[in-house]
Amino acid sequence: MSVTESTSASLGAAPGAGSRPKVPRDLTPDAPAPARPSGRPTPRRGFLRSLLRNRKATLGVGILLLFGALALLAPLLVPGDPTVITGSGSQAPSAAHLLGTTAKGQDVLALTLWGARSSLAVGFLVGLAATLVGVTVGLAAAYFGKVTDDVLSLVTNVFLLLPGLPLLVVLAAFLPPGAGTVVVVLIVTGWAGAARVLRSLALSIRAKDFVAAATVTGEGSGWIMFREILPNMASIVMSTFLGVVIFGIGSQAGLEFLGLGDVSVVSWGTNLYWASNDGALMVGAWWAFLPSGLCIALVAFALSLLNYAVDEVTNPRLRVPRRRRAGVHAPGGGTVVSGVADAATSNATSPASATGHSPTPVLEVRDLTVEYRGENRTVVGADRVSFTIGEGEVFGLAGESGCGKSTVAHAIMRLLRAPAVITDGSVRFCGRDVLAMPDDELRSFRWRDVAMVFQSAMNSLNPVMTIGDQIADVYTTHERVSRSEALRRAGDLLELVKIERSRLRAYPHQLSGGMRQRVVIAMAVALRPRLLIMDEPTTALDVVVQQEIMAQIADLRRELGFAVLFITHDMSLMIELSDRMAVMYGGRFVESAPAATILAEPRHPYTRALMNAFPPLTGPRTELRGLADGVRFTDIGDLVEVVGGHWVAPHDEPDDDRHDQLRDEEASE
Amino acid sequence: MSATTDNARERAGTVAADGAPVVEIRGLVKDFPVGGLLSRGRFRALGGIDLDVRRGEIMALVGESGSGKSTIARCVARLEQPTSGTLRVDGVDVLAAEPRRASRAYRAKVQMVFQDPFGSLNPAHRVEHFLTRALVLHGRATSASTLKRRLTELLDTVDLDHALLDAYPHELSGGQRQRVAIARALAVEPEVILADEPTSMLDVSVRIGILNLMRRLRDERGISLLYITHDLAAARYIADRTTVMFAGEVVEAGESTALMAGPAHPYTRLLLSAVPDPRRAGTFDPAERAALRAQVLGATTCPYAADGRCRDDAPVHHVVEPGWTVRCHRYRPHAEVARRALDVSGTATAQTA
Repeated sequence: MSVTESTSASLGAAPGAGSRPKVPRDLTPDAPAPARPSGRPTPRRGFLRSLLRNRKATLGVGILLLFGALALLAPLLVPGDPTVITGSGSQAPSAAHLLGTTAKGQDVLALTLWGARSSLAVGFLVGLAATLVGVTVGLAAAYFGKVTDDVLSLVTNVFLLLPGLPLLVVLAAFLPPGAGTVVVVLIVTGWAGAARVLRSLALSIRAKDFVAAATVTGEGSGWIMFREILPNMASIVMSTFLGVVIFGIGSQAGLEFLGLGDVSVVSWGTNLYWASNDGALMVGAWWAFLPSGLCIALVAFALSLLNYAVDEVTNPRLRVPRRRRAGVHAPGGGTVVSGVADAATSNATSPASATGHSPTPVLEVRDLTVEYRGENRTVVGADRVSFTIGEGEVFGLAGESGCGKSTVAHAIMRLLRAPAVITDGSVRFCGRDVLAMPDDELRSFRWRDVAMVFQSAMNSLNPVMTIGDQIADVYTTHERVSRSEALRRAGDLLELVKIERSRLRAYPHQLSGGMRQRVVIAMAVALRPRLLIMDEPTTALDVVVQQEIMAQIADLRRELGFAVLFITHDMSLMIELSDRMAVMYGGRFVESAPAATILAEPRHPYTRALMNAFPPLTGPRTELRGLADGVRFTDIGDLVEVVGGHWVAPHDEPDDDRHDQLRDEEASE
Repeated sequence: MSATTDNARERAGTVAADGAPVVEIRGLVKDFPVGGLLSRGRFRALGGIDLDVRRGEIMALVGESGSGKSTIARCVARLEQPTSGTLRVDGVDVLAAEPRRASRAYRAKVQMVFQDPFGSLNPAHRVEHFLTRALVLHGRATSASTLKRRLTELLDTVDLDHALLDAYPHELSGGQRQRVAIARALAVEPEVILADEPTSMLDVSVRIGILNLMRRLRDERGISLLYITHDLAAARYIADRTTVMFAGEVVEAGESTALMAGPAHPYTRLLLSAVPDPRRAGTFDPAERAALRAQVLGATTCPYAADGRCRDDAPVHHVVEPGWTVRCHRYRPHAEVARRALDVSGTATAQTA
């Protein structure tokens, strides 16, 4: 089954509820972005501030602060030398001795509180020093590279390879006993792990363009290391530090418990050592060792909580509530059934009813409305969108990013995830109601009936499986054919997209980007779907490769006869390839017509602006205005048919005045 | 406008006349090591590039990904060390003068704008930081008041709201970020800006705006731009001259509109034919283009390599017209064969016959 899942993930179209649809990259850019703070930037919520808002962090910090306070206040709470004998030996907790006494008659409470001083001090000192060494070594190795990196990495690896505990024991045994020795020993054994983690992180940051940009600006090495790279490592440095502190406290206790530290110092470790020496366990004097043991466990727990909170804050995905069933909700909260959409007649003049292209449309979308429900506000991603795609037809959906075109595609495949919710409308595939499909039907609907190719799909092939195995999996899983038969068909499929059969044994990295994209397209059409949805399938590719892929799709279409929903922002490409197309803006259709008509006679000002955003290859070089940042339309009405098959949203003429006016209005708001 | 801007304009006025190159690249070679410890090899990314960028012009560098366009920019920006060749900026042989690391004075002349505005601005800093650092490092702002004035001037130049100074990159749109990146490059008042696909990661709605901004920098400030792109239409739109690269070599170079109206090298023609443009009638024949590509891109199948000349003997640059060169054995100036070089099917059949 895992094999199946990897293949389906590679296609982007997740087959079922079991595996998470691989959509975020494709979904988010097109999701309506939260309003940009054009002019009013919000101060960034600081890392520390968001950390303190985190419950785990607050609890962790609270526990640590409590222990810190107890340690600091120990001389006030239990004055005097804690090792002084204050009572008779091995007494159970009582009013006089809240935590009882040791075998010698020392007060356990006093020992525990005073012990916190040494244990916490050593832990945090080790954490600080080892992290500092680790950061310096990691940064230097990553930034300077070459010989510096070789030498530093070698040293780091040697220290990592040295067996930790024996080294601790040997070092502790040879160095003069004392608290300082333990600290030195722990720093020596603790820094290498930190250095290795931080080096690999620094290496990845060093490769970023902003480091190159700082170099070009003329910044020096020190500045780049500490002011450009280091701030981006803050959270990992922090969690490394916390990890080393845990290591420090634990190891100190361990060493001292073994008697390798200075047993005259009062710490949690020596408390345990004495408890064990005095045979507390054997006489059942649990109070002698439990408090110190618990303290170590609690501090480690608090540090781990804090560490986890750091992860959560830096990686917000961990914080997102479990996936709500992405879904189909009626405004009232129930599931949309087909009847709801039929009842909605507000947009009766939609082009859906007037295509005349094919008697039974493959896909019929009516009044589709998708909302992104945020905590504070709801954004409409698609607003009463209606269209049909006939048998074998290529329907294009154009618009800038954020206009809702990908939202529509994902809604058709039912790939939307919370917070996106389909609130109204219907999607019918060959007469079947897609929105009402149960899970098992949906699984076969995706891929077998409708397949989807994403922009980044070529990067989603499984890198450790051969192309042949990945394609064959499609057949063995969905058609239940034998392995050899599946491989034979996989070879046919490759030949169909003009890749040699011998490439079945190739791994994805051995193919060029264009070839990989063709493999993905081949897999998408492997089960002969009747509709192929392509979401910016060539945007990441060169023009030459793009042209080849497009020619390839045209060939496949001729051969297999599927319909295509083609999404792109490239108007030229779209007009060249589509039969009919629609232009989308702000979740609404603003124009819909045969592609040739749009080219010859674009009616809506937005359509014209979009076409004007691409310089021509021929003709005079005139300055284009394209889509200025501020061009915005609001309250786009329902499409009206101006001539047969050409639907346009109502707009005022002359367009340019209206544009400027709208822009001015926006600016003054 | 400040005195510095006037200077820049003056500079543009005086030097645009002579059309002298501000960047001169000769025989630039760059090898990258490939393979592991045992099978260490070399990949030649640039095979001896000659390229000039004149003062106050936009030179476009086009070609498919992997053709070496960005490597040229990174070599000129001194982010990569060329294997061999010379690089002159303002007549100074910089690889000889500053062999290890570029001086700050060099950085003040040559700036770069990166492809990905999401990656080229450090997420840890505010917009103000990027601009202030560039101004302060290069002594363009010595007092608090000049700094403030220069900052607002920069934002005005790139059409950004002044309030955005306090914004972090993640609060900006792609177009706004790229404007910040351009403002950072402008802050040091450079003579040359290397723009590495500055619009390819941006949404269609803001691309033209960035292109127009680059045009304005050339026209109003006389800044020279090396504009790297795979978008031929954009190159034609803003570039005075265009250089076409293929597999680490310059295959054709000339005035943009003329070159795109009548490409002389088969690869240029291939590139052009792949650009979707519904206004061109009758050019979309996938079969023909696929054949052309297969032949041009395969070293042994190039219809003009039948005599093996490309393999044995590197082609030289022929002059098509003054300022327009093409690197192909088959090209003979003003000869019929030049036309035939483009007619692949004809040539191919002639050879098989």
